[in-house]
Amino acid sequence: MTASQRRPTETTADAAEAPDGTTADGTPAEAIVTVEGLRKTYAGEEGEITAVDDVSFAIGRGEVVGLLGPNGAGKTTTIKSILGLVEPTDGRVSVNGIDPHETPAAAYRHVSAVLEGARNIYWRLTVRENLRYFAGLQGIHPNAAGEEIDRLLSLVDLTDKANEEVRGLSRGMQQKACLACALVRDTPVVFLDEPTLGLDVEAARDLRRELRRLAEEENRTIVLSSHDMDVIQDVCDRVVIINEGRVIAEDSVNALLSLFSTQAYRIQLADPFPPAEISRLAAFDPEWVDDRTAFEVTLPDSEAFYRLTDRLEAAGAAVQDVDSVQPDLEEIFLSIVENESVAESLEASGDNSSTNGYRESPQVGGGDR
Amino acid sequence: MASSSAAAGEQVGSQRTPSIRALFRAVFEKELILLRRYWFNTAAGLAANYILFVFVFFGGQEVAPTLIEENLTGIIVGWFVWTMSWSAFQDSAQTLKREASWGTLEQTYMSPLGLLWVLVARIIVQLLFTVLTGLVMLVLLMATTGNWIIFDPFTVLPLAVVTMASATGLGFAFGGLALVYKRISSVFLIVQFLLLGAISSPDVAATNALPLSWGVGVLTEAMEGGLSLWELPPVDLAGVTAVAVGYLAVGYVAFRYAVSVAKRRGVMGHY
Repeated sequence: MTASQRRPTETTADAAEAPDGTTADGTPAEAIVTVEGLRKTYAGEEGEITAVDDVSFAIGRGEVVGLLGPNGAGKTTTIKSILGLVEPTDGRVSVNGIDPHETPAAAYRHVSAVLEGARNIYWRLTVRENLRYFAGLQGIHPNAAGEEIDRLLSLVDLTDKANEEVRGLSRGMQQKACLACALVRDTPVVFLDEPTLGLDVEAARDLRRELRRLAEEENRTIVLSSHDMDVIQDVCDRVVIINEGRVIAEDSVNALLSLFSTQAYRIQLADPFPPAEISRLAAFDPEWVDDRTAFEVTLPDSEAFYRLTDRLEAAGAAVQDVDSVQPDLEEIFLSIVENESVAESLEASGDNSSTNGYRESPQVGGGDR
Repeated sequence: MASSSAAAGEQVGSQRTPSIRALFRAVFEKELILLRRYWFNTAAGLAANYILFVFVFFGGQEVAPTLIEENLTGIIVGWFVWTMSWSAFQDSAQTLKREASWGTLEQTYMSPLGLLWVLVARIIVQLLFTVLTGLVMLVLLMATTGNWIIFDPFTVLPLAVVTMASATGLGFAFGGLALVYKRISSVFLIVQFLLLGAISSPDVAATNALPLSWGVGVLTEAMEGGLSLWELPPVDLAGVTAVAVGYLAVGYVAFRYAVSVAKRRGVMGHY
């Protein structure tokens, strides 16, 4: 599904509820975070800049949702607007039914956040001292939080580093300390903005493992923004894809993976495809491999698949094998975002001539694959 | 705590009433840890301040010995208050600026107890530590000048705290400015000298509304005369308190306004 601009109330009211509390299209039945028509503009040197444009979505209790988008897509502005840290130009947000812009103190009993990587905590304090301070900031007596602090240190694998100053830790450990400080605030909703930002591969993998453990062991609603697809794919139930300030797709990770895997095929031929007949397949935009003995193609529906096999037969090519291609979330994301840009530019130029059935549908894997 | 509440899902945390006592405890603990861990920084700051005083005192004795002799108590009290008020200003203005750059200001803002209570807790704890370090400086000043002032701590300490509160109020206003306009550290240095000017301003009604000015006058009077709090003119006590409350209120309102501007511009956590 693309360009989802539904209001949260519509998504919850219109679709049948599944046993896990989600509706058929993966959106939540009982929303704990709602965003309705969120818009944020900034005054720039060359006029008004729209960072977020009419964004609407809802997040259900206990869901782990990924906010995906390229740099500058509007993820952080959306998150900070939900947290009451950026004043929206228009629209409404709520956490557990409370608007953080109207009654921030009441809202902050329900939500905490790790913002922008390893900032957010005191580097001159130890990990444990930070945890005690952040518990106090939440109005929880630091001594009463003792057991929970030990549990969180163990959860993020920092027990051995508990009494070391944060500034002496590696970047990955600092980010895990930030995560623990958000969790010690003991809120039902936790936002994690770019938790793997700036980490090397190993540290990112390590943190990803901790996040997965967190998602499994903590019964909390987690909203995770990242452009690291591995994190999203590993940890999240559902994704909201934002590009140029707008929601362009919203679905469960599994549904997206399944949708795209059934549309993308790798077709193995018995012999190399005859060069003279190659124009017969041009409309399908095949990506040839192995000296034209195989190609990958994305098809919008089963009708297109039958048309393709007809043309192969007409060209005298014998099909040896057909495999459904399993794309990863990164490929799906790129496909959705690129497709959105193409559609937009065509719309802007008023040129619809090249918008056929194949280009309109999300394309799995481009030349970079 | 969450270990049990996590299992309950939606019950996590949000059902508990946040405790202000817990907040004060956490703020006190954090400030104490930083003071102990970075005692050398505090000591170095005091030493630099003390050396400056030594130059001023002995240099002044060479140039105008009578003037220094006649105003010695005033000089000591003024220096003592200036040291503490500069520290109080720094504690609020610089801390807010630094916290914005560290990203911890956003976390502070997200306290369910509200920003006001967090700031109140910090003011009280930081003023407490500032007074303690100020007293060390006062003893050094008296030992150096040989002018031992017998003072009643139950008079001097509350007066000193109320006097410094106006510097804290200014600190919040300037800290708020730093949230919106990021590079204003040089302005903070100018404020240091403005505070010095306010302290040494003539003791007339027209200057009473300046930060520190009235408080320093009353404090000097109390220390010179060995007066107790209840022996001081009620008008002076009310006036000093009103100035402190006024600057704190204006500082807080200015800070809140700056926060709302920073939120509108989306720069609260920028650095």
